[in-house]
Amino acid sequence: MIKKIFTVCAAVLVLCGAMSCNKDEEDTEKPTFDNTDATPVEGGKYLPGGKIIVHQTFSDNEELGSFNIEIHNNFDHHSHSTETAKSISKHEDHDHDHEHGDVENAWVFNQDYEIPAGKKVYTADLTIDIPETIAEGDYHFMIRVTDKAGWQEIKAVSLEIED
Amino acid sequence: MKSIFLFAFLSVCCAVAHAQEDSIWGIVKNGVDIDEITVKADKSNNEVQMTLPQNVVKLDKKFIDNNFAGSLMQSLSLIPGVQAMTVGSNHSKPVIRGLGFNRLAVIENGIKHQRQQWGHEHGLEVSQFSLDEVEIIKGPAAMVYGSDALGGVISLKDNSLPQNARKSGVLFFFRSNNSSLGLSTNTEGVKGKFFYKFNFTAEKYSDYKVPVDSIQYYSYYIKLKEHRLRNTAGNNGDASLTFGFSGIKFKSSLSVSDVYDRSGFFANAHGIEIRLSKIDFDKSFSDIDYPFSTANHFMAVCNNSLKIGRSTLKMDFAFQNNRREEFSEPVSHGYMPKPDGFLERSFYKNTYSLNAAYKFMLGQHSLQAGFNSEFQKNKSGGWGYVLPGFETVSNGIYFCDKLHISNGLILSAGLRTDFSSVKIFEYKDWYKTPLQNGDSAFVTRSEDCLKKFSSIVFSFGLNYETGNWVLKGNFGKSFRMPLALELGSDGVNYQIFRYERGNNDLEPEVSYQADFGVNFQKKQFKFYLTPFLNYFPNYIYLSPGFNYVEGLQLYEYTQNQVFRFGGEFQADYALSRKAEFSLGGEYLFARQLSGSKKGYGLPFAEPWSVFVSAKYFVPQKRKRNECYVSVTQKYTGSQKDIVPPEKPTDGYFLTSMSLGKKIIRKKTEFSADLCIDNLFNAVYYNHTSYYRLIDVPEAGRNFSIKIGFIF
Repeated sequence: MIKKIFTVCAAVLVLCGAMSCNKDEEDTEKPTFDNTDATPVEGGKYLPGGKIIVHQTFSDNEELGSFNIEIHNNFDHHSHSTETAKSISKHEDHDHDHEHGDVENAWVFNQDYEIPAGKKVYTADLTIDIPETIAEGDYHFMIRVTDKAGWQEIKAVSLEIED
Repeated sequence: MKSIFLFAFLSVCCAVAHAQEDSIWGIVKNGVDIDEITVKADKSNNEVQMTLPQNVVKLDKKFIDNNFAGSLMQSLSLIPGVQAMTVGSNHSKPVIRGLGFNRLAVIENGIKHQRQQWGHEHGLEVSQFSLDEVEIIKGPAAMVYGSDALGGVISLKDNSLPQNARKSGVLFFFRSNNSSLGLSTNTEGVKGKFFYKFNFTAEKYSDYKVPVDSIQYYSYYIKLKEHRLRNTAGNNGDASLTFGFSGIKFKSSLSVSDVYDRSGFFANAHGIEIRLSKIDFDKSFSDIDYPFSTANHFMAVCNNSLKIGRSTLKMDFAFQNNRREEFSEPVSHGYMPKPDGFLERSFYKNTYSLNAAYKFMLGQHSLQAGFNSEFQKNKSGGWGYVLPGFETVSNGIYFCDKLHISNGLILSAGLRTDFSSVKIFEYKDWYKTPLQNGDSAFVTRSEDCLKKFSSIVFSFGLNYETGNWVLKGNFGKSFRMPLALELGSDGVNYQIFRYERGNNDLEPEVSYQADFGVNFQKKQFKFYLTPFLNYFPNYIYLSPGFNYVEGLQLYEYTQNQVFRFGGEFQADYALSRKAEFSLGGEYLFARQLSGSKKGYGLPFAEPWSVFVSAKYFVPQKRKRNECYVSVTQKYTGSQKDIVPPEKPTDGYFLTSMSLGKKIIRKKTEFSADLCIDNLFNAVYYNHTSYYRLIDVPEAGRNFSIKIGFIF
């Protein structure tokens, strides 16, 4: 009786073992940004009422999903890890600077965009109009991209919007 | 030099198993009440295992005392197959074999504990110092407990009859990592057929330390001051009072308890605009700034049992009130203007429960018929929306039969049916959002909706004892009602920076599970192996998609087929009052078989782990005194089986050590224990920790001191 039970258990275990090894390789890679000739560039200067020319290339090992662009103020000089080391050290100099600027009139831009199905590489070219009546100062340009599997990658770029 | 080696050798070889000392096996020593059968002192584990077809672990107060970790669940996570999903230093959620949240039931004095269990940041709102006994069922137990018990049950009891005519205790504890200071007192007594118990605990702690100086969160780069996780300080307290009557035929008790908790959220990882805060979070490590949460759980339970000949009638009534509030600095976001006040979210929930069971014997059959009824009403408030208000009604009846074929062979079977309903109340934004046609409107986040569910579940079990072996098998179907959150959410979850969308068409989640248990016991040696197979035809899964909504990645509730298997083992060798050794481990595998994440596992999957432990008892002049030193070494494997947005987690070694002394004189007892967790201050990540997603490593080295006095 016990021997039989053990035999059945062993068979089930082997089956389970085989299943866990036989796993198809699932997508565990995030999409990536190609930073060569991407715009806007780190530390780019813009005028209120001007235009931000966006040129971004995304790629994924399997298939891209969609992307989003968000612009928020950086009046407090916070850091994003995806910025270059140079700009982070610049922020650190301002670490104890708690002047928050005209947050009430800060510009907020937030837009979702689709990527056509089946793309492994996609280049987005678009133009964002900067409103004329916004608080001037440092801004962060955030770009997020997903792949079909649901992985997300984020990039941050610092901008200055000043007359 | 030689003596150092000797000490090290002794510590490693002899000392460890403080975790295991009382675990699976020791529990039986002190006599516990299982399923109407009183297990007397020195009952073997094999006899305990014959009482239930599922794999069960019983723990007594001594286990909890000897394994004093940050929270109850962290203490219990030393048992193979039980994990703690931690948030910060003092909160954790129970997980059994990878299933947590509403997939397991926490039972307090026979009543399902109803808190806000759906959220990551909500711990278990129970006191660990008042507990008399903990029972863990690894595997489905929906038969008696109904919805939610598909992953397992953690049953807590704090109203059992005191062992002494009068006993009081004071316990003082300190933890170095988060400068925690606590005090717990209790008193209990028996007078004739009446008894009473009282317990009070208070604790205060500061921001906890991690062994790194910076972390990054959603691309934000965060420097930590003196390794402290900003604003993770808190305080908590609880009190409970029990009055009881214990006659020969009739037993009754009334327990009233209240658990309060106030704790800060890691400031850099909560809310979307915390960078605009004017709070100086680093001015003190012990204050609680915004954002923080408070939780209060009040519970009154009345347990009654009446013996009529060979049958027993049991009836339990309970009322629970759960209040949870989350406070943040008001900020505007998207189209939401700056709100008034600091109350971001509030949940007020009242739960009324009634359980009745009738047990009787008929020839070789022990039969049980029972009924559970529960009503819940939850109100949500605050300016931040996550969960709609709801009402649920659930009623279930069941019938179980246990057939004693011979002394060593028991067959069992059960059937249960449930009828439940969820009523979700409409929620509209309190601010206007511009529409595409140029208009603007108060967007509806959840609509009025009434969902009715019914479910039939069954189970078959076998217990077979032969020689030194006990073999067990159990096959059963369990279910879980979808939560209001899963049905009706539609909004931004600012805690995790994602947009979550519920699904009104979700069906009750169903699970089929086969459990096996092989137990062996001979003299000082004990061993068990408990494998399981599990299949969900419709696991409710929050699937990350590729679309953006309002600037955040869209996550949608879906139902997919899931297959899981795994198991645990443990071997113990104990030389009474001299030394103890243990070796144990666990493994878990999960695969989604359908849906958009077909081929992936499940989130927060516990990787495999093994531990060895040794405990050495230092010989004492007075026999009643006790002095021990123990070492536990645990290795947790890496977790590469991930789903978005998780990151692979590396394996790690963890060493803990403890030593203690107990002096017993007549009726007084003095004890002092020192425990060192993460002895080598290892930097490691726990894949099941909420903060893993934001790259926060687990706490560094910690010294805990506990001094107790019983009189």
